[in-house]
Amino acid sequence: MSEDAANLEKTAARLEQLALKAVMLSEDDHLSLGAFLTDLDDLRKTLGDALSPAAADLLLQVEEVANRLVRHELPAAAPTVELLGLGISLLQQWFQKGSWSESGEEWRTYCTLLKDLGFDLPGPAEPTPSSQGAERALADDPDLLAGFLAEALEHLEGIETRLVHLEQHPHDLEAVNAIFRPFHTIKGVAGFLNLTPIQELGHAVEFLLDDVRSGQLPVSSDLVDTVLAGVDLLKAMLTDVQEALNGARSLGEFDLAPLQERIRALRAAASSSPPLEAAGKKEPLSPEKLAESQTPPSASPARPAEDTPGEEGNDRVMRPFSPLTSSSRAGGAAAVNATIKVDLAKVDLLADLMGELVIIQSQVRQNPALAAVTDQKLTRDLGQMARITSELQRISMSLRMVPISATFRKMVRLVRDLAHKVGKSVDLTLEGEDTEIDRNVVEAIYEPLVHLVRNAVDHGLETPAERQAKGKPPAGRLWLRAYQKGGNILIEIEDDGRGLDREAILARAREKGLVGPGDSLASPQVDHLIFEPGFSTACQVTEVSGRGVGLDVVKETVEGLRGKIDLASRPGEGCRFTLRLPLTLAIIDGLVVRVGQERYIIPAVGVRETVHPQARDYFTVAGQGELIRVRSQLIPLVRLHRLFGADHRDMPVTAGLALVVEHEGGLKALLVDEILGKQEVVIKSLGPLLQNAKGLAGGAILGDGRVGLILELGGVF
Amino acid sequence: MSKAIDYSIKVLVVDDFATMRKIIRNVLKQIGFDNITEAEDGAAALQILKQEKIGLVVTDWNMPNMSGLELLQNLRQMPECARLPVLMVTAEGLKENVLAAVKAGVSNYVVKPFTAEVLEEKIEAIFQKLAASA
Repeated sequence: MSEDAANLEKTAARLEQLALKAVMLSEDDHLSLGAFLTDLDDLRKTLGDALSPAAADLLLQVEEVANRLVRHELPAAAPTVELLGLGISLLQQWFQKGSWSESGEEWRTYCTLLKDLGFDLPGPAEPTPSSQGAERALADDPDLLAGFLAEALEHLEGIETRLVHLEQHPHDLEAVNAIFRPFHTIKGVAGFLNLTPIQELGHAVEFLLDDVRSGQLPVSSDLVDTVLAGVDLLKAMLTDVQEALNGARSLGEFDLAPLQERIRALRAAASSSPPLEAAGKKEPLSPEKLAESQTPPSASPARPAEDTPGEEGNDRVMRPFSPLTSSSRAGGAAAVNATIKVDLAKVDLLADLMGELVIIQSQVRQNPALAAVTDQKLTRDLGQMARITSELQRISMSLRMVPISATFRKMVRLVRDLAHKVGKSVDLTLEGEDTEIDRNVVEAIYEPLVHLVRNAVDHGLETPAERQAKGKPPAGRLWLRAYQKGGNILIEIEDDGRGLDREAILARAREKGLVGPGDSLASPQVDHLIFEPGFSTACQVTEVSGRGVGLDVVKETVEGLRGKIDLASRPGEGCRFTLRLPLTLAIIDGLVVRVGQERYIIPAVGVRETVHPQARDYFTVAGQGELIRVRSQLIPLVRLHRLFGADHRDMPVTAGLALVVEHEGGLKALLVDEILGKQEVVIKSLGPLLQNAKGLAGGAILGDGRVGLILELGGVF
Repeated sequence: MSKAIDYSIKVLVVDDFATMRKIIRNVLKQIGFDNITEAEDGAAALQILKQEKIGLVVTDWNMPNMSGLELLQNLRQMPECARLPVLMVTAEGLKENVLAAVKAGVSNYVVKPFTAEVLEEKIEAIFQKLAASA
């Protein structure tokens, strides 16, 4: 009893406080308004169920009036403050007598004021500030605009991964916030820069996401699709502005209507379903509420995504596209290294000059005049200079290296969209995202990777039903791996699907005349047939793959990067493609060989072994030219000088060395006079004249200052 | 009426988006502030507040790691910042947030996009209040 009495006293004191604060309120005094609102919150919490329905309504109304005062949504401040005072006074009456007199002066004034202030009319009274005037000048600042575009695109990076993450963890509020943030920020800045369409788009998506944050809209695949469409459109618009800025052309036209319609439909569908709480009253979001909403609801998920009324049939209901192992922190903040942005051309120039420095440094050291020098200090200093130079070179090369994660993450979106389209569920695992690779290589392998990932999802993996029939888990697994091995980057795309259908491949190859009727091929050879031009075994051309571009294009691209593609397939168990790529395109590890007066650099990656041919191992066969025998295998012999028309007389094979090189599974022996050494050389373009020379990948300046030609093995075969 | 704003104070602009910081800086300069410093997140802002004499904080609401609201709550815990004017920059559509900020002791708020005149009014209101209560 005494406890109750104490509580009553406390409440009376609170009301007294509120009444006092109400008198002192003023529109611009946010501090006192804040204190007033906090007290109202406290009062409602303390009283809780003790409030009569009428009193609870009144309290909510007073809060709402105060909220609108804060938001400048009411036309006049003075009557509002009076209204608040009256409201508190009525509450005091209720507290003392259990009700208030509805015929009393206070109640009548309260109601009149309420009406006068147009309280029933929803919507803000404050006009939206126009972006006219002072800000127009800001848009004329191209640097600011360029900075904004770059920053905006940067903020949009990774948003797709986050969306996919959200789809799998629909209650991860932090993920929603992380997706919301860039739209919100971009919209805000776009407003200043007079980029009205971008502002509108940002606004529309932001509103949609806000509904998700507040729990009014469930996370569905439809929602994720819509936001992804928004991301695409926003990126396109930003890129358009960027291009307009660079090329001084006018802005492109974008039709926002379809997206806005989708957003409208999504929100309408959500609001037509019954509201979460019976009371339709919209409560102000208090910091406590905000704090509550930060922790994902565990006991009672508000509305599971599966319950969404499927508007476009059942196939739109969320398909399990299960979690990414490595991006579990997608929504969270990643550690950020301090970085600066540098023009790529400058980095390229630096790397190029570094290459020159390394060469001139080596020329100085190999200068015969230096051999006679006995000065120890000079020798020591030269050694030190060599070490520093090579370290500098290593670092300047590393400037162009970027982690492969950005490319991998694009695949996350791709896999998700594909899986939806073909009705499969795919469990994608990314490994080695931090692996670094030359920026130019990364760009060039994007298309091949997309191709391989498409193939894996579309052809490689089975449908959930097929998988279950085979005793596999219904979700297909797909791995994307990157790691460094030696001087190479290896990228693997592996699935646990049906593997390659060798029968179909053979049949197709026979049909195309790639394989004679009597030929028998080993399994790996059969598998490799899929890299032949125009080869496709897909029974039908699906929407996803089979657009007439074959794996031969993938292979060509990879080899153009001085890389190799390989595959391993186990029928019924899966298939793995391995791309072996050089770490960088700027340097090649090569064997420097001499042929007559010429020097050639042979990529070390292709050299299998070196042999001294014996006379008994040398054969000439009609129609096949010269052959040498290396461990009972006959290998065609190539005289390099003939290939390039160099002036050099044929010499007996026994006087030279044969380098056995491998390319696409075939072997050839290159006859050279001698091997001068193995070294890393900086690849230089041969210039327009020799650019397309068959069999040459470029030139390099060797340690002695002479130029060597870098052999492209494909041209020898 | 004479303006209550002291233009010599140091203004701290907090926003994770560099372009936005630049815009706010430009607008502040237009109003007449010359002494402006920036922080790209709440943690950096708190560090600056500990080390430098700041006369006004203009902070964004929507920032990763520490929101403008959390920054506000944190700085109000620091005795020297208990009465520091804090202007919250927010966007339309987030008015509920404004209430939370007001409860946490924000001095005023401004909705993006704003003109120099609007920002000046808001800042003036803060300083008038401050002068009146002193």
